[in-house]
Amino acid sequence: MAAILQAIGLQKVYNPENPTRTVALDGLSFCVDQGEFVSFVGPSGCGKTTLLMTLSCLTEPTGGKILVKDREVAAPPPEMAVVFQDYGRSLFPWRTVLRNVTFGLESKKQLSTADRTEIAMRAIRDVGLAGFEQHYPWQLSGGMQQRVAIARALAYEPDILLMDEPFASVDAQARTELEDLLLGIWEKFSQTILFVTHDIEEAVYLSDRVFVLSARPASIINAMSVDLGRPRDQLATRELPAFWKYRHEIYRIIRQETIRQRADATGAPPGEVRP
Amino acid sequence: MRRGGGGIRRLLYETRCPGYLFMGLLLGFWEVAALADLVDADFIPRITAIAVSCGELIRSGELPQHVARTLARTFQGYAWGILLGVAVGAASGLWRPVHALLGLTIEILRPMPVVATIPIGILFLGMGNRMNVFVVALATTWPIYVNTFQGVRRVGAELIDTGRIFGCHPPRNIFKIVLPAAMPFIVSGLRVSLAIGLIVAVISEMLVSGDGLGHFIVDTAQAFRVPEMYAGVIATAAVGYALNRTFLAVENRFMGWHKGFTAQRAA
Repeated sequence: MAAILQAIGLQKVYNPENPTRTVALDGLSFCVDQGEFVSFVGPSGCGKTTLLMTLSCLTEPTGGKILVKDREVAAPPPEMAVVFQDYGRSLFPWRTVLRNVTFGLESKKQLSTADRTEIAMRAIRDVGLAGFEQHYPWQLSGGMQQRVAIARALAYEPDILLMDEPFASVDAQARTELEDLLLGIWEKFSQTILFVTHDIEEAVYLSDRVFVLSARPASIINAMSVDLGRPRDQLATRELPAFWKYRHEIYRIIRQETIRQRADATGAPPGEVRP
Repeated sequence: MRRGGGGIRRLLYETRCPGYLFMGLLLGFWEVAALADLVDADFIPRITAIAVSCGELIRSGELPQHVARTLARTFQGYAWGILLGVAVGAASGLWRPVHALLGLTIEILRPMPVVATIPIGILFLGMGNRMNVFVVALATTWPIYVNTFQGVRRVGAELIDTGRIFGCHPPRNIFKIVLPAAMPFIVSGLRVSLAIGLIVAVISEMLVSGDGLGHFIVDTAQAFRVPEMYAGVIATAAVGYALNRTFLAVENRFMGWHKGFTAQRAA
């Protein structure tokens, strides 16, 4: 399969000229195939969100490049959509659910208003929010608001969907529902999904591959193919011995990484650059 | 007994009756005080006498005409104030160089009591209507400017990022994201400015004008037409009240989302 997204030697340094200089990403390289579902996990504070912000071109890398369909990108490409963690801050509170979902379509000039509404209504049905089009996002529960954000991304018809800990702020039950909703959507539309999470089990459950990131500065220390078959099931998949083997292995790598980082940190105060 | 108590309770907590009752009492007290010669009826005529002269002034069309003139000035100046306040406030909030350029000058001009600029207005614009509109515009610009500036500064980075992801870039995102997101701030500036606009319009009419409520009040006072003067004062109060109520109705219609949004956030 062809690579749809490539990161080559991505580097991100905050305040490069300052004493507060922080290296968040250091020479990060990976390749994601068309239609693949990959997750990124790593020790907390390792730069997962920075990675996603950089991949979506919302912040500029200080080194390296991003290729989408073999083309270098510097601004958010139209074939990419993002679902942020904090739906409360990324949905437009003055727009109804329907008008939040049509938002991305308003930049596609070739579409008529009727087309936009139709596409948006389809996306709203796909995330199971039919009947809530005229509600405002803040009238809905957290899980439902995140569905609105997913519908907005879906309506944009992206080839690549970036998700930054999208289910971290919803309750456990809504979370498993959203996981299966996402898998259903992915199987139906076969986008490429890059999913950032701090939840190892979630990463294993959802993904084809799990990239394990090192402590800051983030680089990929393991790319684990998850061979659990499809479709996945919250009960059956999570009870497979292989599921626990993957979970165990990733957990072990991250713990090792955390211990290594702590050891380093005692040598040099946190926040400073490692030699 | 308990039922009666419940009725009074409902009357006090859930209706506007206490407000009307209190106002009725005040007016009644006024009437009695004037009737019983507790106050000098030349200076404080009976409220019924004021009401009669109000009726006459309305019937003759004199009072409505002055109200219309004052409203016209208020709205003309207010429109300029909105235009300037929103434009300069948004530009300063969006682009640091604009704020760096204009900020100091604005902060020096802003606290100046606008009444003090009336003589300057007269020098440059003459004694006509343009001077009145100018001072109203000047006075109404500041609150709108300050609130727009604050509102624009506080627009969340997530909203701007969301715009960029979904193909909404500057300058289009100013109208689709920045201004709507800053709207609750802008609206509170608009509300304050509307009240200030009326006040300044009336004051400017008191100093320089051949018509309008301010002119009418001063004119009747100097002619010792005391009931008419009170009618002018009451009309001014009524106009202010009506403007505010209208504003709140419009705000409720268009900013309903904000009430719900903040209530939900607080919960």
